[in-house]
Amino acid sequence: MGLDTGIKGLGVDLMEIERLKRSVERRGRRLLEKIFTEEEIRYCFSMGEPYQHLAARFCLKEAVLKAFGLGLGRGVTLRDIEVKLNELGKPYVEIHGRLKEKAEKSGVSRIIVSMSHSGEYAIAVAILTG
Amino acid sequence: MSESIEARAKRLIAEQFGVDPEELKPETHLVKDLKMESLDKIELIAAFEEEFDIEIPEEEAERNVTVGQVIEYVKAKLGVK
Repeated sequence: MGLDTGIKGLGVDLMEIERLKRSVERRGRRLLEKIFTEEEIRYCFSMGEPYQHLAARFCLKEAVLKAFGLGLGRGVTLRDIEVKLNELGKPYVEIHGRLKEKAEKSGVSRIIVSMSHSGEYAIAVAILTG
Repeated sequence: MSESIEARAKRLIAEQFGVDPEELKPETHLVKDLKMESLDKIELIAAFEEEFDIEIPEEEAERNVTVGQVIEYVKAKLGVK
């Protein structure tokens, strides 16, 4: 008790890949651009199964918001959370705008993330540390 | 007569949540009654932008949580009383 783990937040999100696919098919590029950056869109559509990659990224963005205890709105959008891959293919996030300000104010210096997909589902977790 | 703003708005909301437009009352709450999730919200914003040719920032959308508020918001955006 009283042990400072340095953990400032935890978030998880799970979604049906088909759910995102249906939304994108209905609303097209306009919807994609409200959620993803150009680079994310390009990467995912360069893959054989774009929707599993898009869904995992959507989950990761939602997991980060949850870790901060935020919903959408208040000037924060999913595009403010950008999912990238390092040279080993491990994901990391870069945050922008209001969310970045919020992180600085709350003393969050690192966001540790992981994402996965299997069959019909995609999932992601995010941990905030000082 | 062409479809009213109210009818068009209700049609979009009804389509999004798979309900009958007749069931939508001004006080119907998007989250509490229609169980709106984050993706529904983004989809609805995209649908309204397309239907009415307007731009809807998320922080403005945030303030409209009932069907009636959404309709009033669209009317205000279009400059209709």
